Amino acid sequence: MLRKLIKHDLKQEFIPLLIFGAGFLAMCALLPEIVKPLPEYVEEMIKMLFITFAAYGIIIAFVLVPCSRFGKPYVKQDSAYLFNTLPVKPKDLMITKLVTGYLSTILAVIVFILGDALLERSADIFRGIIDMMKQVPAAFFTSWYGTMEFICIVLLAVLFPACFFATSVLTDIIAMRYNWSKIPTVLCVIFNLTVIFMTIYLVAINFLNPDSSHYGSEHMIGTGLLILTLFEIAGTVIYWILGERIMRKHINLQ
Amino acid sequence: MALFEAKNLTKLYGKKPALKDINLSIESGKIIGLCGPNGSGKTTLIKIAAGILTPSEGEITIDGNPVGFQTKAVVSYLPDKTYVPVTWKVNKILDFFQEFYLDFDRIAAMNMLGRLQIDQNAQFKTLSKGTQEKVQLVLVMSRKAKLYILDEPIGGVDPAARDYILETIISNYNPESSVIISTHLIADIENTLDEVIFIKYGEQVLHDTVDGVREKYGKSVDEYFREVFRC
Repeated sequence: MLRKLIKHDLKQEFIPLLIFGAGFLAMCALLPEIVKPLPEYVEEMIKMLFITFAAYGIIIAFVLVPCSRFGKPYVKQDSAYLFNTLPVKPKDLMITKLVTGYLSTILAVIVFILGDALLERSADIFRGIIDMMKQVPAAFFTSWYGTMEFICIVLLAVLFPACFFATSVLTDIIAMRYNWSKIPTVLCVIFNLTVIFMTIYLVAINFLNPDSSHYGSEHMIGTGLLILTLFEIAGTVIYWILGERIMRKHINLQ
Repeated sequence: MALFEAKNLTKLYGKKPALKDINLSIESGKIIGLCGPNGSGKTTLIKIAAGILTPSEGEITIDGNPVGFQTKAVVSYLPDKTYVPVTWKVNKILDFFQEFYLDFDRIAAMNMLGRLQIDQNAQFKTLSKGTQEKVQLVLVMSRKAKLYILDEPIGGVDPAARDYILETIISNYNPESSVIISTHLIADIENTLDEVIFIKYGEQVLHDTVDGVREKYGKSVDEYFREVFRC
């Protein structure tokens, strides 16, 4: 049943995303031809503006929109009746949403990388990623602190979509349990936003600005990463236990 | 073993009781009318049995199992509202039911839809309210379930459609199954029923056979209902 649920969910969520992604890639392929006659600096500026806005568009389309919709089939009055009367375990419903969340995030990253390569008419971005991977041992494994940072970053990459999508689904489940009471719903939203902003901030200062002394010592960044990792692990565990229990024992579709 | 059993079932909405200490036992092969005026607790009882509402106390077992994913596989539930995604086409809804309910008989469903002249390529939301209700009933009755729970299946349709719905219910359920029909339109379904349950202010006030009611009180179930629930 889990396989069927995932298949159904992927069909529902991915077809619009694939159409959006294909449109974006087509734009990336065509744009360099359209702006070719323009002076070089204008061409570069248009490309940069396009990729910047496209990045926001991709985040909204592939992560935020699905995220805001993900829990809805389980709690929205019409389809909630359908999904909550299916002969499936509550945990299968939740795993389905996590899997779709992960895949949608991965798809967003792939679409963005491919789009950038098409826009630049070069494979530099792939070479850049490979170079970055090659530098990982030297950058992280020279001290125990660097190793810890690396582990945190990997864990964050794995946990971020899980935590993000999980807490969104949990928000909806809690909202259903308490009949859309504001306090638990708002608490979940705050947790989500905190995770998102902390992640963006730490990842940004760690990767985009290697001279991290502007923001404090390297140790501060490492500590921040560790705290965020622990925070996300706690969030995901709480989500799992609470969400599964509510779906199993306290379902409340009035 | 009873097919459906409710033991000391109580449901509170806040402090207000919607069901008070309900004890019920239903055998296989019966069509049961769950009757009561609006707000008496019929839908609450049905939702608990369908697994979309949790009781405050007590429990329901169906086919020997407490309500959960095992019972959902043997219960075919028709809510009193639209519950399929309205943007889906009828064909897609059939695909969905076929995928998730192993007991779903697609051919039977397609035959019924064909008899009703319902276009299977039509989007659900483009159908009239009555047709939407018929489609949902067809979906629910096309399962080979052990227990059918129908919440107000004839409430919102015209008398001609009511006859069709009742005929569909009778002709599609098998003798090992039971059907619980919630309604306050007793006269329309009285002749279809084997047993009746009356619920008043969340309390069970009667559970008897239709013949038993007629013999004991010398009235039809509809007349007795009007007497019990007179305002």
